Amino acid sequence: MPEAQDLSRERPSAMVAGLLLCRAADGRLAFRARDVVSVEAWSASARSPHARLAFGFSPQPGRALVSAEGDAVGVDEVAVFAEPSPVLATPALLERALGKSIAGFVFARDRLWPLLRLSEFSRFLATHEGPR
Amino acid sequence: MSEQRQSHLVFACGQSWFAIPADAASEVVSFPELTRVPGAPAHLLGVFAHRGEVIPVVDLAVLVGTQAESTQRAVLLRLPRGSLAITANKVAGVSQVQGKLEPLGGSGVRMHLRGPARTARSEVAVIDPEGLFDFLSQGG
Repeated sequence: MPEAQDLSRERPSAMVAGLLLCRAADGRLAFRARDVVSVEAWSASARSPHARLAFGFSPQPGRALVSAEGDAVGVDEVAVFAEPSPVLATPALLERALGKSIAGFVFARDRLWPLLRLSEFSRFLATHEGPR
Repeated sequence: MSEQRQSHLVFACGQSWFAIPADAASEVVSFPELTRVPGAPAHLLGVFAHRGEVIPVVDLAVLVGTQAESTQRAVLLRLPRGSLAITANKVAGVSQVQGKLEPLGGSGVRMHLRGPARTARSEVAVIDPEGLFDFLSQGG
């Protein structure tokens, strides 16, 4: 049984270009830029849930990503990442997690980020968040 | 279930020893910094990329409620429905496991751990990999 430390032999994968890379507490999140129609200020009075809740932290003022459907998610920081990035499939173990809002995982800035469907993730957080 | 002798990979997760059928254990990996999964339960430590595949990392010690130990090593399981890695702070190698493989509990993860069983060196809980995968994929 070999002891392995991965990293080089990547399988071919789909590519995505145009991402919003976000931080929420110590968590990383990525969204397709095309799914976001605006980035607004997020405050405690906002009706949208905050992604910090999904990492076990209390919300704090930041930015809100808004979808065409009007769903929104608060995050701490947002950065645009325009370079094409490989998308890796969601592991079978996680396919049903987060209300099926995980669209895959992307490599960007030498790190792995969960790629989330904005509206589904917002609805999942709204359903599962505790009192703010 | 009758007494069985079968080759298993034996490893420690936290203070407890576990055994997994050798044919389900693909390799022992050292994993890099994990990416946290939002909304994940505490036993799902995160994910890492391995040969183009995203692998979830599970800490069985957290799942069974015993003392966890920090490690960056894991046993990678490749199952018909998917892959996962279980943290391993010690790996004893492949051994014959002897004992009755009855579920160690009637609910939760212990339904998918079997025993009492032991190797020549220690008592172990034998993991039913498919059952564990089902349990974890339903939110564990």
